[in-house]
Amino acid sequence: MIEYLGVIVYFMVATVLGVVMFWAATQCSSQRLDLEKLTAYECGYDAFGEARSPFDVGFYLVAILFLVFDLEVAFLIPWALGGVLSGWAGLAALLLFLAVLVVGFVYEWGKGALDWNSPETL
Amino acid sequence: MTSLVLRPLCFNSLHKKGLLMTSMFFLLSTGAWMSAALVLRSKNPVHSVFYLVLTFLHASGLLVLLGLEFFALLLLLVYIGALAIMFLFVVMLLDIPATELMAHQRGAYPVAGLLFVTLVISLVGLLWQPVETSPLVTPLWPVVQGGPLGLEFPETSWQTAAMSHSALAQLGVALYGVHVDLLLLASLLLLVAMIGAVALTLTRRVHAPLHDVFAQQSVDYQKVVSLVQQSTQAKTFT
Repeated sequence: MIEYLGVIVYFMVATVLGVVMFWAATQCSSQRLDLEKLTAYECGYDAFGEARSPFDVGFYLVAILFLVFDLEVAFLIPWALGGVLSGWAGLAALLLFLAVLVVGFVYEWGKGALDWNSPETL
Repeated sequence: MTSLVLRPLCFNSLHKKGLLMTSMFFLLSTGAWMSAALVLRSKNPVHSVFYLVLTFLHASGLLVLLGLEFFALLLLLVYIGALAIMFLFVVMLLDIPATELMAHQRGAYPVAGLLFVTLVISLVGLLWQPVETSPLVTPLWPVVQGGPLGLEFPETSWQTAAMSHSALAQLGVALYGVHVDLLLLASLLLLVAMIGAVALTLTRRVHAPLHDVFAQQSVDYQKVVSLVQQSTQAKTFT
């Protein structure tokens, strides 16, 4: 565990550096705030509404699909190192694991979930 | 079933580790508790998600202290890199007023009580750890061992594996050799997540894939781009 001493030193230096920079920024700069500076600037007008607005669910779908394939790759990494030890049965398990996920991948591809441009926007 | 030997987890096991390890453990666990409390305390949901990221960071530090580097990196990659960013994405973009959030929390106390009971049970189980065998071993274990099938549990010499291979290679053996049923269950879970996400959110894209990439790539550019003779009238106009 002693080989992570450098990581600890790195984190400590980064934390101290960040704290010093933020502290110096709050102490050294002149801050004369008023209402006009603190409100949101929207081309001279008052703000029309909330900054948050409902958005296309396709963004969220892409994020979830990324998460699933991310986890799939994370499951594959131990096989890359310990796969030889687990033998042909391990390879068969890997192929079965991948086959189940390929079913989902084919389903997505067929439904067009991976295709960003819809017929309406084209 | 063999007798369970229960032994309270004492703090003298901490004395075997170094002073740096002990202090790092206390630092990281205190940070994890504090940031978990701040997740609940902060009014702004965006701040809550940032404190959740901080909780995950402390938890991955604790995993590094346990010697589980792969799981620490996995926690950073999956939970912080993907899941928390997705939370942040939703919280920042969805237009949910604070009053509506308060209104949805009204019936949360029974759920919170159930989670608290689970936490107490798991803490008791943590303090009184079984040493010899685990009560969580599968109930099918006597059937598998001495039943009509007469299956023997696959013998894996963990001692030599621990000496000769890295922790990640041992995880590979455990995941793809011994506990392969859990791996396949995980693949089914990922399949359900994929299909569920697509089935819940996808409504309008039906005809796909739209672009025939092969046809696009195999267009002869000499037939597309052609030289046009410029007329003398246009030349004088410019």
